This record gives sequence, structure tokens and C-alpha cells, in this order.
Amino acid sequence: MPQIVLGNTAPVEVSADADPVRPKPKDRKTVEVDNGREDNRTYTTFVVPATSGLIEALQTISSAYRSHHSDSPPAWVEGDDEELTKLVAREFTTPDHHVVIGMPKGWLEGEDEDLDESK
Amino acid sequence: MRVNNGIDFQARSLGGDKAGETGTATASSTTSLTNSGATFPTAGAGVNKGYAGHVVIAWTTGVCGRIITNTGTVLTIDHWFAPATPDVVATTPSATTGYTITSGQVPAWFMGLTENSNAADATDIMLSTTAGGSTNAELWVASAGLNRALCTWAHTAAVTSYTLSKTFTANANDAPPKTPAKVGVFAHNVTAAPTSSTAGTLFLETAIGSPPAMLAGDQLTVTHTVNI
Repeated sequence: MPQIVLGNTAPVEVSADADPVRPKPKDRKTVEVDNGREDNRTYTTFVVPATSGLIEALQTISSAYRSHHSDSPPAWVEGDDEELTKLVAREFTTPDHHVVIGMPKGWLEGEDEDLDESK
Repeated sequence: MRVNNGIDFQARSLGGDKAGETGTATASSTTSLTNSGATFPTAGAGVNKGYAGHVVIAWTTGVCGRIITNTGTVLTIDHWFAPATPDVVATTPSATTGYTITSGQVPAWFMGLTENSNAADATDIMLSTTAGGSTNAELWVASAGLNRALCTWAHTAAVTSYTLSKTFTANANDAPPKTPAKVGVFAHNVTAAPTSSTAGTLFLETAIGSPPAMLAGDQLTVTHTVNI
């Protein structure tokens, strides 16, 4: 079962009783992560069924991350399926935000001040 | 909504429930394993009875089964599966395989759909036509796209919840249009239309607001939050 991990700088949580297809804004809240620092960075892990096709896996990760896990695109992505990892990085990359592949060294410790997400 | 069976399931899962055991089978089938000399526990009722929700592992081929119910000598499972593909039916192990029954419960990571729009009810045991009922209303047709399926699991570190997601794609076998109005999360898989005997453990049940009418080729991504 492929695993994909996304660097999440704006974690959110959706109520367990929310509409599972179109949750209302009132059911979604920002989460303050207790990571011992000023920032709110964490990471979100997806485990995809081995029987999911590549496109379905991408659609599911993209939809669930945006709707239920974060208010901003991931800072980075890493995974054990190279093709899916590249597709996820491309999915979230925009002209203003480049998703790097691999967790930057020191990222969890808040030591990556020079991570340029605009490249 | 986490239904009553789901509360009990979660307690057994996180807390461990009873410890397992090992033994040698005397018979096997696609949905059972028998040890005529066993004294499997049978106290309790429903999802709290005996080894309900535990996993049995057959030593000969390493395949596993999710136990739905058991008598003193027979374990009834949903189907055999290889550990890496929990949603795929595997070959039945030999009748005389050694086996291990684990403690705790299986993951509840299967999602099913129903067109029934009754409000979720704490007493529900399956996606049925009435509150607490045992008449199946879950969508299931052979080779259809809206059948119960294994989900993608996701968790954000240090956040007190996780999600289960599935992108369903309707196909001609679903006899569309179909209008999924409610979703159920289960601990067990099904290989045919569920009955009260095969539906397995219902963990969560939630209505879909403004349900879409799905035609062949239409997709619906469902993401259910589960509080930890």
C-alpha cells in the first residue's frame, strides 16, 4: 500500500459529523499543532490501497488534503511510489508555489529558513 | 455518527480486547476456519461476542481473515486476503493449516454507500432500510463501481483525527442513476450484497448532503473524518 507524506504548514480539521462530500465552512477549523515552536508545521501521511489506480490515488489525495487536512498547498512531498510522488508534487505546484520532493533537512525542526517555495 | 457497535469496536480495538491463540485447523472454506477440538470464546453478543473483529492468520500461506462471528469450533470470516491487499479475495488455506488469532480488532477502513436517506441511528448495525434494521440497503452489484471498497487512510501528525477517503466511480453495472445518500464505514469487506450475517461491523454512518444522482462514469470522492 503506497505511502505519501505531505509537508503541511496550515493544518485543519473537519468535524466528524460533517457532510463527507461537501463539508460546510463552519465544520472546518484551523488546528494549532503543539510542536514547541512558533510555526504550525506538521506533516500529513496518506496510505493508499494497492488496488487503487494511479489516477484514483491522485484524485483522492488531492481532494482529501485540500478539503480535510490543510489550508495551504504542501511545502514538500515524499513517498515510496516514485510515479505517484511526482504526480502529487505536480498536482500542487502552481506558478507561485513549487512543491519540492523530499522532506527538506531540518524542516521539522524549523531550521529551513532558506526553503524557497517559489522556485 | 459513531454508532453503538462502532463505540464497542473502537474500545476493543484500542484497548486490545481478549488475547488471541494458536492452533491447527481441521477444515477450511472460503469464509470459515474450523478446529473441531477448539474452545473459542463465545461469551457476549453481536460485535462484542467472542472473537468478532479479530484477525485469523493461516500459517501455510500467510493469508488472513477478518472474523465476523464464531462458535466454539468455527470462525466465520468475510474472506481470505493477503496482508498487502486487504480488499482482494485470496486462495483458501489448507484444511489442516496452523493458525494464529490476534488480539485487538481489524482496521475499520471499508466504505459502503446507500441510497436510503434515513437519519443515521446509534442502533444501526448495517446500512439498512430502517433504523436498527437488518434489511440490506447498501449498494452492491457484482463488478459495480459503488460497492463497498477499501479507503485511503490519512492522518496529520499531532492532530486528533484521521480521515478515510474513497473516490467511487459509477459504472453500467450499478444500474444508474444511483443517488448515494449515506455512507457507512465498516471493519469487514463483502463479496456479495450484504446481509445481517455478512455485513460485518458498522463503525460510522453519515449522511451525504444534497446527494448527487450518479450516472456511469460519474465520480464521487467521500472523505470521512474520524476523531481519535
